[in-house]
Amino acid sequence: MTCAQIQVLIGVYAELDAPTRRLLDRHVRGCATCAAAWHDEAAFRRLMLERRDPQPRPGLEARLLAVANRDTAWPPPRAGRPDPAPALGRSMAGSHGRALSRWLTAGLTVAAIGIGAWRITARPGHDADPTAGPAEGAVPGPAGGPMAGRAAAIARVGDPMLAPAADDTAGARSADGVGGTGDHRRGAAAARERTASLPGVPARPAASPASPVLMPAGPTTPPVPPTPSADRAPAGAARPPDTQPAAGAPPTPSAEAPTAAPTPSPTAAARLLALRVEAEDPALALDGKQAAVLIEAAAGDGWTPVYEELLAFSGPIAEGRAALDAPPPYAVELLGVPAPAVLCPGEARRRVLTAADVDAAVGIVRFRLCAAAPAATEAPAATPEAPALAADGGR
Amino acid sequence: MIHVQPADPEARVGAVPAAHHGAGGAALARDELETLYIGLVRAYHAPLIGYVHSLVPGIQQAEDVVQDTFVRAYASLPTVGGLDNPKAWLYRIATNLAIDHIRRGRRVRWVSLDRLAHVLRGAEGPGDPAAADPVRRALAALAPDERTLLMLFAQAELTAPEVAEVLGITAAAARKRRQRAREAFMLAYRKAAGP
Repeated sequence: MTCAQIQVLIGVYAELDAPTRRLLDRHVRGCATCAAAWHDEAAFRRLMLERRDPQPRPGLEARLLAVANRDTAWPPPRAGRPDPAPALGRSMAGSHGRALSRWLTAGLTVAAIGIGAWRITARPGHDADPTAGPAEGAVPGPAGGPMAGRAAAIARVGDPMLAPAADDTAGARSADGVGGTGDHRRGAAAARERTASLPGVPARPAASPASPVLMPAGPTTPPVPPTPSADRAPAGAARPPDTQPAAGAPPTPSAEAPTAAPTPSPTAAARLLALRVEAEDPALALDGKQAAVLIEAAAGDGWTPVYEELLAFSGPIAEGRAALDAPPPYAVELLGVPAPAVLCPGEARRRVLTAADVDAAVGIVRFRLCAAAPAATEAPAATPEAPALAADGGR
Repeated sequence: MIHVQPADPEARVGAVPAAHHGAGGAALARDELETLYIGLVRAYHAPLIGYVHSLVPGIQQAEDVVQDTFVRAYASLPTVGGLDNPKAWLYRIATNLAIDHIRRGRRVRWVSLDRLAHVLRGAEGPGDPAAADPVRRALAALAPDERTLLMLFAQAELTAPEVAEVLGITAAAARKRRQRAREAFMLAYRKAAGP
């Protein structure tokens, strides 16, 4: 056997049979070149053994196992998206591409909603116009293009949150101190109003107050545990007057409210998610700034956006709620964080919630922000996909 | 034993894993497939993270690749049924996905906003653990196919025939390439580690 052959076999010594090993051993003892190769191999193996294998983060195994149950599992990520923006992310590099596509779609979505709301609100008498056609509406049907479909999806899920006549959860929202910014809701409200006025589009019912997530049965169980933000951010503080209900006040009839009783739909059992973005340092100057959260639901083999929320900070906290008529699992992603804050090290930017997560954790999704100090920016590249919700329900 | 050609698109590299459909040639039932899948996840998801992390830049990307690996494995299980060597089969899927990931990374480089300032200044930033680890730097200095092969041996602890199956080469070629890759690695490591 030549030295070249011996040196090849040194690397697979464990696979050799006994006679070949004996042959190799004898050769190495008498050959300086092959002995050097032997020591090199030993050094290589030591280096490999000393490497610290990264440990999968908690929740990965559960998410992988969930694939086995297609009814409750999250679908393959970034597969089968119908719209071009996510396809951009899919065709690029994994999570970074996905992150970019999220930013793009979030920006476009916000712009679309804003433009739609502006077009409606800028038109005199828009509230009472039940005859306006789709061409004037903020939310064209799904055939109106990818962004239109997305805006429609957002408007649809925003629906239960905004139903003015039957929304007896509004008081609960005020009472628990969880309020949205109103920015998205204004757009969604306008879109809903326009959508509801279209022929063939059934009115959607308000979110059921008996939602399994936030409104468990029984008067002794509070709908939502009180949060510290209730003191710092009074109920509805960030909500504009036109969408802020008075706690306990009777619902205000409005011209645009559907007069017919809403048709019960399979979406009546909406899941409610409370969204909370909170700076760890109360002194962080975020007041009046906004954070964007995107929620996607499983759709076929992919994810589809179902809710977008801009949350305005009142002090160090921005809060809002999403009523989702699509069933879990959901992917909740924090898209935009205003400077000077960054996501805290170790905090997951994107979280996948199974039905069990939503139900067991009272549906509160919390993102923690830290100051963008050097220590924070050195955080692991790492926006780990942590377990869907903290063990304490994110509170 | 019935050997079948899987419809799995990940099977484009390497030999087709031998597969059998249960006794009597019947396809495995759904619960059997799920049991098989769960066993694969529990046995291999952590080692796969370590292996893929040696090929792609970050842990998050490694988890993305591993997640995609298992999703595709799950989708392919009804086709391939029971596997003679599920480990090699999984590593082949993961290898293909990781290679795709690396190729995409060459065309487009993604930088997190948090590290953008560092990158614009020409530095990766102090938060990049790879910058300080000579082993990782040495691995990064290898050609992707060298790195992949070496990690299949050293990290995944596959045998030469298994590596050959994953990469679609002969066992003899796998052994020879391993030796060359190891020599290239040690050279790069000595440079990275310094005097």
